[in-house]
Amino acid sequence: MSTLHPAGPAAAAVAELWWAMLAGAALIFLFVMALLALAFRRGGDGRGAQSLWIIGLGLAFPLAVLAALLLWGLGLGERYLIPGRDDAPLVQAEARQWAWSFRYSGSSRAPTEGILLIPAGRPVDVEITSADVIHSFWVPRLAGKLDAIPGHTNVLRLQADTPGDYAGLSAEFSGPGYLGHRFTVRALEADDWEAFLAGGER
Amino acid sequence: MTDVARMFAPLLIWLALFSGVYGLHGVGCGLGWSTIEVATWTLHRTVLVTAWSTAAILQALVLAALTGPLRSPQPFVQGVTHTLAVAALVAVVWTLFPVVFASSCP
Amino acid sequence: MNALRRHRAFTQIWSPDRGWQRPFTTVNHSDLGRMFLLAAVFFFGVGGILAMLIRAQLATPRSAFMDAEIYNQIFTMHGTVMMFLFAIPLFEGLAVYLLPKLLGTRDLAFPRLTAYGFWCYVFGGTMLLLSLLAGVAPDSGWFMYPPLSSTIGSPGINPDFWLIGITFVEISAIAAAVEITVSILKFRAPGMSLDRMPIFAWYALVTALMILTGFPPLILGSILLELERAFDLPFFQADLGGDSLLWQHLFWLFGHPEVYIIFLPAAGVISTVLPVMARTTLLGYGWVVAAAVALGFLSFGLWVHHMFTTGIPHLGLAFFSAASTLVAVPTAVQIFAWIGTLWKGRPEMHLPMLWIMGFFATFVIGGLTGVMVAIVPFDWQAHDTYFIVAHLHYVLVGGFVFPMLAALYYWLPQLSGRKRFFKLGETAFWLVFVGFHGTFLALHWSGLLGQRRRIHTYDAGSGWEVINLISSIGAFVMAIGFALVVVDVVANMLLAVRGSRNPWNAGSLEWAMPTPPPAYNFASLPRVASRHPLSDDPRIAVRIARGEGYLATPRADRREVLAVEASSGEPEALVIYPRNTALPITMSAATGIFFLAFLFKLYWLAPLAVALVAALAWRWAWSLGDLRDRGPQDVGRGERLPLASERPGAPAWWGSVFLLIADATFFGSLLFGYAFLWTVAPGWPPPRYVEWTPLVPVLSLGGAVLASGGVRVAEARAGFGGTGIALVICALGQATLIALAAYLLAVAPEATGHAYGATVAVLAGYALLHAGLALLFTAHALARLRAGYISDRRRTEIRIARLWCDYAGLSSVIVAAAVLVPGLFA
Repeated sequence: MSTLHPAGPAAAAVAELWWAMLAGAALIFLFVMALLALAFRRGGDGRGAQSLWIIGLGLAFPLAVLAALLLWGLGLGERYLIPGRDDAPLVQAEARQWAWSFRYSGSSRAPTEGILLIPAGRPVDVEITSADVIHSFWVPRLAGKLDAIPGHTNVLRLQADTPGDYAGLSAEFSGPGYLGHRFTVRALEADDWEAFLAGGER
Repeated sequence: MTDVARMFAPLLIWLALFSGVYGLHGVGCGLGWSTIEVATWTLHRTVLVTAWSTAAILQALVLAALTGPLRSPQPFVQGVTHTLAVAALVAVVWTLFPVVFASSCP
Repeated sequence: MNALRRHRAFTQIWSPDRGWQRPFTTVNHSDLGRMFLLAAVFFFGVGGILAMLIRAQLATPRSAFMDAEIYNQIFTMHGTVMMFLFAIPLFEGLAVYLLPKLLGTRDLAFPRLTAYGFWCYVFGGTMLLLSLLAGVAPDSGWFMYPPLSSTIGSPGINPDFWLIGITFVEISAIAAAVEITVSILKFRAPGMSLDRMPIFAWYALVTALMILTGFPPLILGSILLELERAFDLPFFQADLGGDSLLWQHLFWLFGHPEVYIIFLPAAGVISTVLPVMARTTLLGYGWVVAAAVALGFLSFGLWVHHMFTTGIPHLGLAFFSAASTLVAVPTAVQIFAWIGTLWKGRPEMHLPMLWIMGFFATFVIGGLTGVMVAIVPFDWQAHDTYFIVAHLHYVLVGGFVFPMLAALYYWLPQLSGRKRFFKLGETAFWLVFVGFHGTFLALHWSGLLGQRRRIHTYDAGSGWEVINLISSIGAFVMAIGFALVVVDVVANMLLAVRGSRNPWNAGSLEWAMPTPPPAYNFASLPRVASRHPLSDDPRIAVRIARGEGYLATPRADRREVLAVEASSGEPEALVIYPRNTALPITMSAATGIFFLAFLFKLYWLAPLAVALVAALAWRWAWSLGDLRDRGPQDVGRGERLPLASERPGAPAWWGSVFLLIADATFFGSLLFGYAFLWTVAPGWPPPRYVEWTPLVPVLSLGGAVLASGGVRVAEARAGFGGTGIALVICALGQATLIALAAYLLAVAPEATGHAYGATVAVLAGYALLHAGLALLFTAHALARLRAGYISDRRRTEIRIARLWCDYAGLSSVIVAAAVLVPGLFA
């Protein structure tokens, strides 16, 4: 269930972003610490250069870094967080205290409990709903999370690169049974997926 | 008190404009504006970009007023007011520019 | 009169009562500041013990130490206690103790209000503590999301303790905020213009204004959720026109400003202490003021970043992602201004400076991870994991606790008059610092590996075992460090030798008085001509004691202070303060009875409590004022000034203005919630809307005009005839507004049937309450007129009544429109 071992394009893009942000943050941290350390070794003369400290370091430097980061993030958001753009298969995930059940619209397939089957290698849109309190649908290795809110339907785009089982977690505190409120996402080869939709075994 | 009001006004106006555009975004989704086409954009995006531009112009007018006819005679107050009025203009542009490209209501 | 005689006379006038009554009748800001600080430290201990229990549970996988039910109460209370009963009150204590000294005056604007706020905090905090001891503590997380925290998720009494107890404590915060705002704006040493104010005062002003506008959304949310739980008004139930997202918006509209309310005072401490440690002045004072104000405002535009995963469209999220990155800019301005100050000065590593270094090393990391989670796709992975737990502790402990410990060691000589002797402080620092990073650094990693927040245990083999064990060990090291701080401080306060008055060679006025400080702070009020009056004139303390400032002559047993013009700091009025009294604690207890009535469902008790509070408030307001005009008073240095009650803009009037700002934010949040439910909540339209009738605009506009017109005539005619009649007309206007509210309540659809009906009921109730309040103020003004307290000069009561009449009229008109509008659209 690690976000740092991605198995889908959305999670991979976020993991890449994370490593870049970590590197940048580490550099900035070390830079600031170095400035502090140096402050103790100098003897100041009581005159401070506002244009260097305030305008240069306080304004220009953060604005530049933040602008770049924001644009990267918004671009990723447009690319990976928007569902419903093509004819991806639609599945439904309903959360309740403390289990998940999944339906497969567009097929006569019976619902599954605790395990969501999807085709591997292509995007799937998951319609997330709740029967009682707020929960959250999260498969860390594949994509970010989206909440299950009573009265609303939120749609998450999910894609697994290769067939396999991926851990799913409910990521919104929901009472005493929260710990065990988990599920599995199983990605199937194309033929297995067709067979599954037609009513076969998983 | 007027000096305090001068210093606080620009960002208070930004907050009102920001909340207004965000609210407009929600109302527009509720009224189905994202399903109506206007030239290359949806009605939703057209309205929001217009609102953003208006907000930026308003904020620029606030900056002009506070550095011109409404300026304070006290240098410290005027300096801080000027800085905050510029900051508010930057904030309007920075925090609302996604209206130009980001996806909205399903 | 020599300095010693003067000291004795002023001490006699300003001292709190002796003996056991002292804490219960004191209105002295040094007393109350210390009481706030002590209570806050006590609650830090409670929160800390809860944290130790959490870490003991999470040290090993599948721990059997606590089951989920208990664990849920423990972590909920850890967050609740730390955020509401430790952090805000610690700021209140520091501000209450320090501000009058920094500003060169003798007390805060409304001394009895300080005491009232303190007791509301203590009584409310006790309620929450008792719930913990009784095993029925709130257990839905410190942010209490419905439906989990509402009737379906939590049928027991647990969330009610939170909703009611915290609202009680919030009264304390609002009271303190009104007090701090008016004090900073109106009560300073003569000549202390805005640009000569100590930087901490700027931060405190911004913080206080943020409290006034940031807390009301939570107060509203708490009231709505309690109404849902107690009376089935479905504000948050999607199948009856409500929406659980409404709670999240209201909570985070409070919650995000809350964390900046916590950070800004700490930044104020750094801006004060760091330059003194570096033996120079702050670089870029004007920039830092602008940055603090910018941070305050920008923080109100971030709240949805706590809701990035709730299904809001990407464009909506993008606004808040952009704003959340922008907020790092004013933060960076301050950080680099501080580092630039160090570079221009000659810093020395005394103990306060050590804690400030700890702040830099910790808060910068917290700020950097904050920027990371401002980026939406990353937040979709990190949200609700231990990455966020780590981030929030880095910014809160690094950004608040460490600077406050610097403040503690910096101002300890001022508070105690002693020179620090025992050197446990350095050891304590390293234990806390190393322990803190040991606890939280690796939790960033376990969060990214999938460890969710609020789980009460985890499986072996998940990959987090080592991280959690190290974290728990680190927590114990940190706890030992904090305990050592307490030992160190207590030992130094009790046993160390007397020290010099200004050991740090600081330039601000709190070091220009005897230490420990006398009850009256300054024997005479100095005129200041710069930001660092003590640096300009090292002998200023002696000159103050010798009576060379204003108000040097103790007079007729009066507690006298000067009010100044807000911008220039020029003195404009003489203010007389109240004496010691048990009224605040009594009124706080009466307020408590009101809250307990709702907690234990003894609803008949509530109106009795309200009547009691109103009676006590009447008595409170009645105790000041004069039966005849006194004219200009001698204030020393050959100058004369009018009494504040004999000119416009009295402090009490400003107090009402700022309280009404908080009230208006509450109302604005209510209107926002209404609009939100109407446009976003599923399940609309309701079965029926309130129908248009001309009666509604007639009653609302008519009542508003009568009320506002009547009170204005009364104000103009004060001291001549006709004032009484005008006030009666004003009261008729309010009666009309009360009738309007009653009508709306009568024709509203069933409040339990749909959120529209529930909202109409709350809107009408709001209008009713404010018409009632305005009526109370008007009746008070009329009674004061009859008793002879009003003249053409002494019109404050009428001016205050005018504020409340105008507000009641305006809000009633808006309520009337709001109730009718959806029906007109349909």
